[in-house]
Amino acid sequence: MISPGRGVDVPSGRAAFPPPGGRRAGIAGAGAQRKRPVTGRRAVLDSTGMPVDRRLRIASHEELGASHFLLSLNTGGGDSLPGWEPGQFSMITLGASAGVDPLLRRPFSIFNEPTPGGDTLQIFYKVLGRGTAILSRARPGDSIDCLAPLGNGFEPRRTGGTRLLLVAGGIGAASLHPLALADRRRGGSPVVLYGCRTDVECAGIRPTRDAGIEVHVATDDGSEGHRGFVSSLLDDFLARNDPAGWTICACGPTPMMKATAEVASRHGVACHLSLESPMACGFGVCVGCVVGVRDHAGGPRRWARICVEGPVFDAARVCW
Amino acid sequence: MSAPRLAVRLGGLALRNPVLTASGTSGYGLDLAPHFDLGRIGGIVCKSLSLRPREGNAPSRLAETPAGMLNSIGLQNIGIDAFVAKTLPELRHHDTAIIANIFGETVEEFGELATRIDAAAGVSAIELNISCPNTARGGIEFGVDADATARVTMAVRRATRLPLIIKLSPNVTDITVIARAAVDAGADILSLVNTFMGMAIDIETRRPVLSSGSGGLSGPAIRPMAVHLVHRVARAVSVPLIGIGGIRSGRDALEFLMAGASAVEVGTATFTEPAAAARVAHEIADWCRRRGVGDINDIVGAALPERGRSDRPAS
Repeated sequence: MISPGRGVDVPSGRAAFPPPGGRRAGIAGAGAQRKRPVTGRRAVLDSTGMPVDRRLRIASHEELGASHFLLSLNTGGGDSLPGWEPGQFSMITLGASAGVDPLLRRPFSIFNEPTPGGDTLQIFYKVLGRGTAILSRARPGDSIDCLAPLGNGFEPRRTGGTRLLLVAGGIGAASLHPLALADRRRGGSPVVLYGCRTDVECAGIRPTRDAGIEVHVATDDGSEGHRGFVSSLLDDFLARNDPAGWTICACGPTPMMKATAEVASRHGVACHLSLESPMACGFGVCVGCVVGVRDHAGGPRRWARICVEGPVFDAARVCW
Repeated sequence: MSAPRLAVRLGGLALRNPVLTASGTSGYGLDLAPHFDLGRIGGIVCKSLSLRPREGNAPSRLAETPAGMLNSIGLQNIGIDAFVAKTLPELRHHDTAIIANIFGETVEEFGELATRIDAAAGVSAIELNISCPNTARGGIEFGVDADATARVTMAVRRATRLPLIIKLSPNVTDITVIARAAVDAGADILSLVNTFMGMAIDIETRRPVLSSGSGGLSGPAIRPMAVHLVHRVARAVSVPLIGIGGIRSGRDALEFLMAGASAVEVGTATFTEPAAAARVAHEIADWCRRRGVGDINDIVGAALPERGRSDRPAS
């Protein structure tokens, strides 16, 4: 079945519905409409844009080992993408029959740092299920509809010490990678703790390591680095270093996030978690991706949409 | 040829074109405004409003299924007061019809909600959610029983002069019985269908995927069943209908119009493409232009048996 609106039924594609008022303009244009509360010191760019749904072209798609893929999407025509912040995400279509089977787009954090006037958005993912298996078969030149940037990244809500301790579980490293690069560019010395099952899965942290970021590894089987969970590596790290100077940002599977939050709390370190959940829309209307949060200690629990209130939450607010 | 006429009138509800968003798939409309001019569609049907804010069901709330999805949100919403005080004034700035969908746990609550909507300026019609499969009380309890449907409809009818839409559940033995009960009790318009009840099971945990067990199935998977039900109800009642179920293109919408619906609601497609409803409206216009249809009303019910051969294109 041909997917309507994906280049066939509407000859002009999405061009039939240009978003109003220069929303596809470059970073400066988008910033005029909505500025995120970013402090000058921490700003990655001057501003980020409103989410835009647009068709991008696969510029390259390479496997980096152990079912990890780096997907580069490009506007094609040379026009620029709106800016984004580390930890923001995209919703992308999977294959030609997207919208029917699989029905839904999939959320992926944005892997690369935005550059002013940049036209490329990268996604680093691991094949974990049917959706990512379909995505892995996409080829350079194929079109992918991409709604981005979505959610709130790490920067605007960061509290705590000035040094960044990034705790990644498996492919969760993808959302922390741009944060590490941005922090270093501003003169920081971020440290990444990466956990996975076994040494071959260290493919998931290779791009970060290759970029020269300090990385410490924990494997479940001890085949590389610390033997055990990344949360115990974190515990060791905080025992050996003065916790006061650090802020933890973490992304990974729920049990690992829970353990990370517990360790952070025990050491009295601010901790920000990028949560994940199945999502239908990514922009707030399906109300499917909720997590229990408290707005203040002892307050009532409510269901917060991860896509618009998160995906980054202060760990102290999350009700596990 | 000149632009086809797309305006439709469903009793007292006049729409610029026959495409609405479906309740529960577009928030209160404002979340779609960054993606397209809301004036490109006929209107917004807001997420179900209850008397008090509802927190909804615990996660997990979603499960993707072949060509569809199950949801069990549990009507999480901001409540009628916040809608009237905060959302409605902002939504009124957009040049589109606003239809308030309401949900009550009792007949009295439905009546009270309608009274409050009636008192607030700017709402074009009220849609009654008597078919939500995901709540412990209210919802589908009303929609699967003809007497209860009539009682709720009458209570709301007394409370408002706004056009009254009853949203029907497909989870019934004979939908025409419920449809007739609603019309006899004062419904101006029927919208159909709400989601089909379904379940997905995680075979590794051996538990239902959704925390509530069952949920509502939507998406392209339900479209042929929904078209069939519209076609049946169109022959059973004489009020205007709004078709709902898996619409994601102009051609999908045209099936519902030909089955007897005067308008459609686009739902799940908005999740996968924020501007889906605007694209559907555009594709309907495009089809009319290509087929020489000057007025969209001319094709409403074209596939009903009582419509003569003269309605069909010569070929």
